[in-house]
Amino acid sequence: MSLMEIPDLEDRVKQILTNRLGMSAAEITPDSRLVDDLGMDSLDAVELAIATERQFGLSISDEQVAKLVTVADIMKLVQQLTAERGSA
Amino acid sequence: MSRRVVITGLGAVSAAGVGVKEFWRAVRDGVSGVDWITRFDASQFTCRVAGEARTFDPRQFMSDKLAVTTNRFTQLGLAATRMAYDDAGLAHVPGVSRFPVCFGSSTAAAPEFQTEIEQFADGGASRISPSVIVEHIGSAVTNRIAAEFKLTGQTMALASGCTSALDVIQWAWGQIGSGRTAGALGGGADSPLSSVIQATWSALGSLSRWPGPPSQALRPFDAASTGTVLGEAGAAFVLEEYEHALARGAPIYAEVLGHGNGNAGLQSRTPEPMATAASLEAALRSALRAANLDVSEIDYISSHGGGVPKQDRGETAAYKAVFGRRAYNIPISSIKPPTGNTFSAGGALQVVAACFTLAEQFLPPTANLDVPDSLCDLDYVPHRGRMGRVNQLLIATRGIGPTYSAVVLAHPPTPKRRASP
Repeated sequence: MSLMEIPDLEDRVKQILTNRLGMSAAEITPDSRLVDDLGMDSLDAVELAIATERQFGLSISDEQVAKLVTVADIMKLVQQLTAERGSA
Repeated sequence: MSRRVVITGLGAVSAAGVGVKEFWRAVRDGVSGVDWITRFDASQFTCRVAGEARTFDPRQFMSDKLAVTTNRFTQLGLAATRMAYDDAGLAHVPGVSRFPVCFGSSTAAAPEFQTEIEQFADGGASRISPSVIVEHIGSAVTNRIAAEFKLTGQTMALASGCTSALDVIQWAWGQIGSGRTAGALGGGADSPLSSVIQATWSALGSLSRWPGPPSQALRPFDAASTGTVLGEAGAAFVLEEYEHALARGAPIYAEVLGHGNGNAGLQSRTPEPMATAASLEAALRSALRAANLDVSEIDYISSHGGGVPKQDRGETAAYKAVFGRRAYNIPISSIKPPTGNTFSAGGALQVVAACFTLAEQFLPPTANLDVPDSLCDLDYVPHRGRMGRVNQLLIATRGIGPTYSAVVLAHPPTPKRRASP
């Protein structure tokens, strides 16, 4: 299973976070920590998961959401699930 | 119980501007913020105008996150509360964290809920956001205010329609009067601007069909009036125990002398305008009783004056029933034309305007009143406001039913002590 190139992945993930958390995309980097840096709470996490599912046409489990720490983690998860979907 | 209750802080956001000074300037000058609807496609409606708070930027009053996650009515209420809180200087008041907060809202997040329902119809349960219930319920505004200002007192929400904001005063009056708290934050917030609500009011036959400029569409007591115009707004006030306010040197806008309500029109199943007249008459009489005032002691009335002809006629009949011949000598105005009919926020906006009326001894006009309806023959201060001596005034608001609430405010210091709540 190889990770696929997803067009504008970083920008699209940042847009999801911007829509929910209100800050500008420029304030978000792949290393930003969702809770400690971006102030995400539990309801934000559920909203993030749903918005990510809709944006990329994926299904994300609660366990996978719970493991997300940084913005880069979301990007990796999207790549991984997209690849799994492609090979299924 | 002999605690007196005063108003020490004010805030307002509406089509008439952001902040109480902008609002009062528009009300004082009779300038209307009603314009063509941009919030939704209104092409299918005869009434295509509303009072949209276009200059309101939520980010000036709350965090970026709150500005994107909360709904419009919450933002309007939160911004108005921020203004009232700062106006009253509450940040440095010991014990303010125990203050309760109570807001009225009639439509809560109806426009946003409409969007959710459309998405549900489109894509089923998977399209529904978990934040819907948190942000759409009527108490979303009070919950957000409590969280933002770190208030641990009771959070209370009222849904008695357009009378809600005056009912908030009654509630807070009881809380403060009984010694349960030294102060309370309150107000009203509504953003009813959506195609479904416009359709409902259109179906009721209650919306203006004025063919001319939007700013003239809302015409309370006017012979050419055909209905009301909807608007969005948030307005807030700080209510405080008199000695508490005095001790800390707070600015005192007005004293609350009494509150009353009436639903006699609801009971008697009478047609309009008698139903309106019966309910308002009952509300006025009970407010005067609570304030321990005689009809001769009311110097001005801020009426509901929503521009629906039968209701405006009913209000006029009630003023005559209660005040007799003196009704012709009491200036009465409707401040709805500048903002539109903003439901629960409307009563709170009337409270803000009434505080300025007392402070400046200036009677705001009823804008757009060119030729009075033949059954509306009182002094509605048409077009131009004027100076006038006001020691005690009445505010009346109408809820669907019809129900009415009324509040008596007085210039501080009051010439007469009120009865206990």
